[in-house]
Amino acid sequence: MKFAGYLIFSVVISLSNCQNYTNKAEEFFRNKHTNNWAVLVDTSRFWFNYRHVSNVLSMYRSVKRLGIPDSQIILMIADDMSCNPRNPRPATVFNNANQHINVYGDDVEVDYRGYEVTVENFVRLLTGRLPPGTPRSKQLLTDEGSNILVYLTGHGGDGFLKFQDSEEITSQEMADALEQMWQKQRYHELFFMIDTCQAASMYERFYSPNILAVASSLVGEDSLSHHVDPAIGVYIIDRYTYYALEFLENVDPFSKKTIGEFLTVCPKRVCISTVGIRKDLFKRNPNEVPVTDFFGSVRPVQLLKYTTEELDVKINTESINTCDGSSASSRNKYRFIAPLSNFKSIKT
Amino acid sequence: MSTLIIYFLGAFVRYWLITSEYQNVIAERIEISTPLNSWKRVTEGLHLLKLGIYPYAGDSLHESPLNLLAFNCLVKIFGEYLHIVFVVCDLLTSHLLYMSAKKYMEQIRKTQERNKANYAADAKDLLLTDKDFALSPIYVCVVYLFNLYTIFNCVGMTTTVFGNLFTALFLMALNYGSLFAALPLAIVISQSFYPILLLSPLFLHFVVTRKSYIKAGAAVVLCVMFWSIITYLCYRIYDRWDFVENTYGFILTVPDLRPNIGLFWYFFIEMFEHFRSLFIYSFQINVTILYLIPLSIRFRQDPMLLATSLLSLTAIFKSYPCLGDIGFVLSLYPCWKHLFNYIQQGFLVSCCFLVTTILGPTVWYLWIYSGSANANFYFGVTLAFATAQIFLITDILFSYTKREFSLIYGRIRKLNSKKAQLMLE
Amino acid sequence: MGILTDPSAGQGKITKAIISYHPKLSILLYISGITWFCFLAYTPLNAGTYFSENALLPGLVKSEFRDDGSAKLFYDELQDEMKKYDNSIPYPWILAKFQQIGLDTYTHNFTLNYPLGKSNTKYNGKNVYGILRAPRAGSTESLVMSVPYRPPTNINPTTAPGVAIMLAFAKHANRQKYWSKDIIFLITEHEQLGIQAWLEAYYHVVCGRRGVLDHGDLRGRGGAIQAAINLEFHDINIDRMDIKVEGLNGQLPNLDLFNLATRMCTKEGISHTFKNRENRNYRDPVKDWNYAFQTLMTMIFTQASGVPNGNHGLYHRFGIQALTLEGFSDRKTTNPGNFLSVGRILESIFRSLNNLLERFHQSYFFYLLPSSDRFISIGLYIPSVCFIAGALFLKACGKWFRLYKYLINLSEMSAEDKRNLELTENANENIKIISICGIFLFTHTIGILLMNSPKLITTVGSQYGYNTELSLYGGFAIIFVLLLMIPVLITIKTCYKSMTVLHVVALLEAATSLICLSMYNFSLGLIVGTFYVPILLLLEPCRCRAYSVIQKLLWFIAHPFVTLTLLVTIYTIFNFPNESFGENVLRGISATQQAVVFAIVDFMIYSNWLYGVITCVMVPNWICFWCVLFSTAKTDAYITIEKKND
Repeated sequence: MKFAGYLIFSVVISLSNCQNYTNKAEEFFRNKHTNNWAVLVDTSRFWFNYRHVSNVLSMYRSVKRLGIPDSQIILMIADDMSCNPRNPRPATVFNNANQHINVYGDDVEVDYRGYEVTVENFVRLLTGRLPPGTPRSKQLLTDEGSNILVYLTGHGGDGFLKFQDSEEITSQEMADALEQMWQKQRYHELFFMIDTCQAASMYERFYSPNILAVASSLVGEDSLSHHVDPAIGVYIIDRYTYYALEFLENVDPFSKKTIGEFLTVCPKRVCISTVGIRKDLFKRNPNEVPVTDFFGSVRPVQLLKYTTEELDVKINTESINTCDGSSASSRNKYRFIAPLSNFKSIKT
Repeated sequence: MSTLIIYFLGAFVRYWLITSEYQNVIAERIEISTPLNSWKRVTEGLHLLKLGIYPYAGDSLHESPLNLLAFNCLVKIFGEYLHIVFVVCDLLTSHLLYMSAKKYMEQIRKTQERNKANYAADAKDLLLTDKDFALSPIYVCVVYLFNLYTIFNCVGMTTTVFGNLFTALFLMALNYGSLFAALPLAIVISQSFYPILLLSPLFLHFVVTRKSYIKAGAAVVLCVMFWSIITYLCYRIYDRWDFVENTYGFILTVPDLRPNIGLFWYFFIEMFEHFRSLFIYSFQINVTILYLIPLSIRFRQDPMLLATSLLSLTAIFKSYPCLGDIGFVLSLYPCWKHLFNYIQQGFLVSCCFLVTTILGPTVWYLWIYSGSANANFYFGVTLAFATAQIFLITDILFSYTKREFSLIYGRIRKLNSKKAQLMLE
Repeated sequence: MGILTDPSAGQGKITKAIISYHPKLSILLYISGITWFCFLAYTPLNAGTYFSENALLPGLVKSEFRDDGSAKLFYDELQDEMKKYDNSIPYPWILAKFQQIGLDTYTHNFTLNYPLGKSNTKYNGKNVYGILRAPRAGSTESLVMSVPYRPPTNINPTTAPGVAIMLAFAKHANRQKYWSKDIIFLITEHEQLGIQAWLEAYYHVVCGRRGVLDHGDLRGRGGAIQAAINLEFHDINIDRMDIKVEGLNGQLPNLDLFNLATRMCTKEGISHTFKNRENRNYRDPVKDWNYAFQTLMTMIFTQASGVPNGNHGLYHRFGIQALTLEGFSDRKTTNPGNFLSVGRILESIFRSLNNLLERFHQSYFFYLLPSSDRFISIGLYIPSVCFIAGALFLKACGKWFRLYKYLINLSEMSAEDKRNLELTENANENIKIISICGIFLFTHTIGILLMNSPKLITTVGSQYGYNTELSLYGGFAIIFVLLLMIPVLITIKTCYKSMTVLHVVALLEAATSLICLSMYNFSLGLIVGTFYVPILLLLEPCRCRAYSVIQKLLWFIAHPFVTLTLLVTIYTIFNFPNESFGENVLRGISATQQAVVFAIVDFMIYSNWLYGVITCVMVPNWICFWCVLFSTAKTDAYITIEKKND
């Protein structure tokens, strides 16, 4: 009797475990984040904007160290600081006057360089509407399982970001580009970081879901640079990025640190400007999201002790929730279209 | 005798300057030669023609094909003595203006005689005397010949000289009441778009002076016909229509934003592409339609005054004005010499003209050569210059209106036992 | 006619007000212009200097200059060489040094054909320069460091320490790899002549009269020059650095360059001065204002003559921003020399200039400096000259309206009244426009002829054995006396209307030329306005004999020729109180002669247009007013007419 009880109990347990594992498996497959990309953009040129280039290169190093491969990083740098004739340390870009970390190195892969960094190229990159024949390294080949980190730095103002001293991208254009990405299912979640003056104005117009945005200053505030390197004679890094990097240096691919902690990395007393955050479009709680969800390329891996049979799991067939919530109609309305299609041949 | 001396002096001054070393300097000045009237561009077009290349390829030439052909003939015939052609044209223009002013004065005299009975008793001093009728045309001629703006325009060898010639021909034919006025008008319209406004005085002249709607309609139709023939001939020369883009298209869409004495370049240089078409429309409407109808209605009895005011408004607001346009219009004002005593801001306006004319090149030198000033200084001076011209027109028109009023109603010293004032609302 | 000129119609009130009050209003405008200007020196009313150009990044980089030892070595060697070369640059030594340092070395020959006096007087000169090529950039832009070499026989203080530090800096700079522009190290001869010839050769232009300065050829060239620093160090131990900015024809360098120089001097601890006056901030506002005002006035007087106070002034017209650093020693310390600090200042300045990507365009080009850390921009100072010129405009306006009213009143009078007032036939005459135009053209032709006359005068004078200065001065004196007699030729003196119109036209010309002059060179405009406008406001042909004589005397003195002679003579008398009056007068006149010659020579070589403006604008205007003063039109009758019908 007792034995039968134990047997039933263990069967029940194991069945429930199975159920658990099934749930876990279902959960695993329901978690749609499959890959990580990073788009790191420096929009300003000229020698006195050295710090923007070192900002973006530092982020590049961090992101690469945490596992995102070069093939999934799009690096856009508007000017070549390392080979600038004014650089007393040619072929290097430093981000810290004390530690002399050369963030340029000899393995940096810049995808868009110099005058290729334009508003048009940036928007085309995000939306995927690039001309046929664009090299792979210049394409953002994301899909609906990609978590994308978008990092922008340069000079900005209320509602715009200056590209190359001659054009601007407005916050509305930015928001529309991201919405296009959402409609084309080009991202799963997006982390938008911007380090410019009046940076918060850039994310104010976002209206697409699953975006978490952080800006180094609010509207009306200027983002300040951190320190000067007297050996080179320029401001070498911006405050927000400096403290962000300090945080990221303590992150490794197995770290349990959350995005919520990352969002508080630069309080007002060190950053002088107030860090702005936009979380209303982001469905999860930032305090439960690991930093490596965006900054590293950590594939979710879960060990299952038991194999289960008959897993009734649907993968990738759930429709996207649109604004009006109707999913059935959306299946007809929206189709996933691979990039670089010849649009003329698509029949609607 | 004195007229001969005047003409001789005018010719002498022009000839002396045009053969001196200053001719190049003057021809290069942006106040005098604009992309539309620069002789250098015509020379380039002729050179392209000689080489067998389509002259409108590239953005240098903006004359109509028929004009280009005419210039080609001129250059072939006169060769080195081309500058004499410019001097002679200017003299001819002044003579034509003299004759049109004379005819206009006669008309005024006739009108005065006719309406003498209706005039108020104490307005007798407002009437024009024989001396006035004799002097005004001479003043018109003298002002045209010795006006710095027209002298520099001639010396700079611009095609505005020919434009002025045909406009003067038009004015003369207008005042003589000839339907032939349609031809020079068509020629000038084909050269520069804005004289199309002069169709209104043409029409009104025949209605008011000849009292014949048929003739008026015929004049307008004749002008349109001549203009179409000219355009068709232009088309036939190269069998292409894209000369329109280089002439009218250039004038209307203002692609070239080189600084000049106009008001367009400064605005459009800093405008976003997005808003460009809106502002092009508003600026061009300002030049053409905005003042045409009100002025035509108000001054329908006096087509010459209407023509002058329309010409001066286009000289201020057109897309590529030059000093030649302004000089031409200034020389028409002495027709209303009798109004000069009554204009309110005459002194202020002349001071403004003087100061801005001298300050303009100063600030240009400081901007371009010294690198100290910037575009704002130059545009400010140009704006002041335009404002002075606007004040001049409004003053003349208002004095004219006041005079008309006083002729009929006489002095009104007291209205409701208070001193009366004639104010411009 | 009545209604349209009805005093209550239109702006009749304003016309009436102008006619009655214009003398007082003009004086008020003039005084407010002067007061406005004076108040500008008051600290709360002007602005503090600031950097507009973000690219400069001034003083951020750590100085690496360590070659003060080399500088001392160079200085000692140079002292030895200078003993051998009494009158020229020690070329072999300098060329050798440049080559040793590793620069591209070149010499530049030029010739001056002295324009006055006997022809064929030639002066030769030779400049030396070395170009440091930017290691990793195309030679598209350059910076210049120049020193005006003064041999031991020169009366001005020596500049040899400048040469030494320049060589030391060149040695240091050649080892660095962070230069994005070429640096040209230039040593010139004959003060401003050498630098003018070099610049003309560099840009292939002739600035003055053709054939006067033959600028020769440059074998080696850098790119477009963006900025230049001129060094005039008088001692190896610099305790005080004076920064000079005034250039040719009153042009100034970009304010950012001045700020850069002051900031770098402060960073190294060497006190900097402007106009040899250091910054002082007094508590007492009056004392503070006074100090700043004196500095301001010194700058005004320097700028007004249009003569640059250093070689830097000749760069400005080419779009090159330049200033001079003049180093003085107080002789209080016995240090062996502070080449290190000076070298670091130069290095910091050049590192900052190196950061520039575009020409200087952000900061001000038109400014006045009451001290080295405060400035007055054009928007603040131009109203003062506008008020002063406005006084003249107002007077012209008043006279015009008065004439106009007189004409109205005259035409309304009956024939009887006219006879009663014994008006002559002339009252009915028209305004003789042709005569007025003729006078105008005549005076301006005289002016142009006067401008082109010096060569002729000196040639004629040298035939009679007089030297240049005396023949010029004498020639001008004779011409002046002839000009005094011009009113005899004027036939329309008796016509009140024509004379009034001439007066109005002359006033307008004076006012317009005043405004244009101040656009080009504000200081000159201010001084001319301050001096001339009160006299012009007083000038009024009147019947009172004594007043008329006083006016004529005043205007006689106001002629540029007479004014210059008087001013220089009085200045001489003040400066040499011990000498006798006669001697001082003679000395003053000879100084005036020299000033005249210098002005003309400057006009011909450098195109300093002071002489041109005086002859072409001021003298004709003076003649017009002189003619007006001699108007014999009966004015009392006219005043009666005006009063009668008022």
